[in-house]
Amino acid sequence: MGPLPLNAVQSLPVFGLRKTWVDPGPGIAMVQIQYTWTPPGGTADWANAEEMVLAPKAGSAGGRTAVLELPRFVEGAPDYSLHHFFFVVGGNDDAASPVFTEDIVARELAYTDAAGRYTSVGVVWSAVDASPESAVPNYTRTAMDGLSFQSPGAAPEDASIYEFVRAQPLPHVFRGMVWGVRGSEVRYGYHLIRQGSPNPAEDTESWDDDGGSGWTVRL
Amino acid sequence: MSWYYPKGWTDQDDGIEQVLIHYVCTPPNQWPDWGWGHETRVLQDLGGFPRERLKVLRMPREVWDMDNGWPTPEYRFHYYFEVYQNGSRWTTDLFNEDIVYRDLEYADRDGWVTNICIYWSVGDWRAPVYSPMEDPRFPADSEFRSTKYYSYWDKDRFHYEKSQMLGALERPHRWQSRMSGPLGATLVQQYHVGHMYPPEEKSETWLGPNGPSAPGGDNHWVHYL
Repeated sequence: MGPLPLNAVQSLPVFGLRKTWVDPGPGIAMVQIQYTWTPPGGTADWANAEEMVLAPKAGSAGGRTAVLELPRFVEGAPDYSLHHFFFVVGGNDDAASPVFTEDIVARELAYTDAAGRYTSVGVVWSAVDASPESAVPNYTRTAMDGLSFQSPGAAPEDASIYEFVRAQPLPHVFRGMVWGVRGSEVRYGYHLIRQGSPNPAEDTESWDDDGGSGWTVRL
Repeated sequence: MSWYYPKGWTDQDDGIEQVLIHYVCTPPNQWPDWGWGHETRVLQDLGGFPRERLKVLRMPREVWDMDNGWPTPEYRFHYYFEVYQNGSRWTTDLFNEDIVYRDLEYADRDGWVTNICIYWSVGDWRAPVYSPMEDPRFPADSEFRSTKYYSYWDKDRFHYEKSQMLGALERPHRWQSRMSGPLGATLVQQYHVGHMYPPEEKSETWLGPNGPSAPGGDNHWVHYL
């Protein structure tokens, strides 16, 4: 059977954002988060909201957590409003938290390859979390200045574009975006790829995270 | 509405820097064109030895079958892992799983229940899902349908109106909803049942085969898909 591309399920790129909750007291059985998004300043329509149960967080008394999948673009724009509230089930009583609205904003990062060593560059990034093991990794494939056919994406480059890259004047600048809540910090590192070299032994992939600590940017 | 599917990876060797999962869903018996587009997620590094990685995937309740012109709750989930190791990358074989569903019905003979959900998860309780249940006779356009409960701000009114509308339905009330998962997998499941009106009788609990209990835990039914 041949490929049937039009039947595949497609969706816009997303990123993962962790939300946490700490029980204010005993007796809470379950916490659920309801969330949706609008263009900046829009009013939430809860009819089509997403929902997720927050799973108890290991090693945290009363802590619960869930990773929301949020779009990278809403109506074509990288900045938008995220609306959410928690629905809390107690022993014999339920309660909804107030609705929280946060600004989701994007920040462009640029990697400059002065020597032309790489054919593509990715950014691995996550919101700076109180506990590093809770970090939610995301990936942004950058686009190189001058390569008009390239577009940023959520997965590493797998095309052989060595000759196209080489034809561009130095330095090569790769640009990609990271997302998060306005005012929050994002930690990132680079995925440095050289593919399609005339001598395949010169192809390489490495992860530069500044010796393990990464770099940070405030949104 | 989505459901959640944990996909894990265990490092079998040293030097693994990142693991990604690439995946796409198609109608049953169809194959994707990976070049046309698909989803990609980076797995979270959970540490340990051997190192464990995990991503909880948000899965659709149904996919659109363009050949037949309707949405289908049974579909095929195609995926492979991309592994970055020692400065190069390799990919696993391509896997595919048939996603199927299981409908549940909870018969309430005395009309005590005013709110009920299936509380379920694939495999274990790592990624629980809530599926609000409804009697199929309940009006489809009602503002008091179960799916609208969470964002209905006047809960007292909702409880009252729902109980009145349910009271007009002949018993038993047959609450129904759906779970999904990969063919061959197990689902763990409880019911979250509530009697929310009148206020002085308000009561709710999670139910397993051994009776009321806390959510999750060992008191659950197991379904083999």
